[in-house]
Amino acid sequence: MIRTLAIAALVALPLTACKIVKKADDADAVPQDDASRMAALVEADWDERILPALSDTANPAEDVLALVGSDFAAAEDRYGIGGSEGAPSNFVVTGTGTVIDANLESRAARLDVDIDGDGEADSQIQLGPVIRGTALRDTLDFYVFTDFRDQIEFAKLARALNDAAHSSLEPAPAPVVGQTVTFTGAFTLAKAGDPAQIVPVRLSWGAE
Amino acid sequence: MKRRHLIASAATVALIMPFAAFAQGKGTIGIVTPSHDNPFFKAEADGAAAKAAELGYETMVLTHDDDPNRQSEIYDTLIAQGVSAIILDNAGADASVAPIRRAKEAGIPSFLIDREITESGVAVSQIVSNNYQGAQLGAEEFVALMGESGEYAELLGKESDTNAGIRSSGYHDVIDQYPDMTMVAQQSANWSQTEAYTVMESMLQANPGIKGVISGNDTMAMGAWAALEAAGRTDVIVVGFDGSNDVRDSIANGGIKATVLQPAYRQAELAVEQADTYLTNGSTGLEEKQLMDCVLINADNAGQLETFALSN
Repeated sequence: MIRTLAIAALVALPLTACKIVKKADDADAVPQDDASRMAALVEADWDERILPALSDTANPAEDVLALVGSDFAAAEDRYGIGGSEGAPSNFVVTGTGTVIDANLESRAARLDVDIDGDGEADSQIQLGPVIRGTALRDTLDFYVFTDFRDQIEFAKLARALNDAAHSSLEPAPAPVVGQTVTFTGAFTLAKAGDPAQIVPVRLSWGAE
Repeated sequence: MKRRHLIASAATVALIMPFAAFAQGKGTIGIVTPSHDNPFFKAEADGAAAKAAELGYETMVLTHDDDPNRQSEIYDTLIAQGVSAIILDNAGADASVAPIRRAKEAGIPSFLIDREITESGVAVSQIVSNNYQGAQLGAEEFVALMGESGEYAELLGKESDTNAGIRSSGYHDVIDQYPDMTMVAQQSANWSQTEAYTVMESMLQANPGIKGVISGNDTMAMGAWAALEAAGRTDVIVVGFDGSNDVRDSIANGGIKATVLQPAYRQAELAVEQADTYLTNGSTGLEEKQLMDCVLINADNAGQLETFALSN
């Protein structure tokens, strides 16, 4: 117990110091609110850390969706990131699909995509600008809640990641239904049967 | 009843100390929350106490009534008492750091629920509802119910409470992305049902075109709904936050349309489980700060809601 406490104390000090340094990096020029500071953090990390991490952790979408459908617990074990009792698992996937349907009118625009090739939509790709959820943030293991001031700051990080994902997307060609789309992205899934709502960080039209 | 479940104010702590000091077995867990007048905090205390008893602990259940001084006194009492661990829904993000640290230095770990503190490395766990995620869920439902357009009003919580700000921020991060959603009124009703009634009445007079009301908590949603009913405006869409039984019943009767459940009961149980793991193994094996997702409650699942927990 004493050793644990001592280690905890040792760990706690550098963590605190680390947090201050990280914020100071971004906040040097002008005082910023949470949203701007998190947007700056994401901008700085996007190419250097975020895209490489997602590329490294991505699994074939078809394999992940198949296992999610047949044995959700096994899919969580094998592919899931960050699942706990209080928070559902996240998955990073890459793949190609056919657009079966689309809603480009809503601010939460989305594609309904067939990835397994059975002619029916089995996933959604969120195009935004309203992108739901925290899948990107929660798949990136270098963003840890304990390192952030509070849940507002941590939430703004998720929003900044979603905004960055949206602004990196090319506009959908018209008509969009029937197009082939190739993507890398992340989604959160609480249970089998819920739709996979993928937040894409790379999306290109046509097969790759 | 095998567990001893004591509710005491700071003043009566001294009286019960000699009894608790004889506690055998795994020791005593202190459970400290705001006033049980709000069923949310009572659900927390009940969840923690039941789990502690199940795991073989004695419990001391105390309330600080959101007074940091009282919380500090309670902490000193629990430290003097030599409890094994403390489960805390704290009375202030800054003010709570010092007493939690005093307990830590005395070898008593704290496990926080519901509200964060401003420092990490002082408590062992901080398990909080993902208020922001929950607010976004509520806002998405609200926007969908509104058909992505129309005039709406927002009832804010108590300004001094950070959860009021978090929820409003979560609401607006979603709603403000819909250009046809227009906020015509925004006012605090301080989490209060009666205040919300009055505020809603005047909002409605000034803005008869209101189509929806989004509220920072359920008690204010109940007040707003009562005012809307009195004005014959049951067409107005109301969405709340917390997942109280009152709003559950209103949803079932076709009144309020939706709310967002904070899993308060389970959160408190989880804190006790982590305390038990920590006392047994010297570590919880988990990150200090943990978010628990909230769940959207609407007519589809309201029937499964009871005392801040959703059955399957």
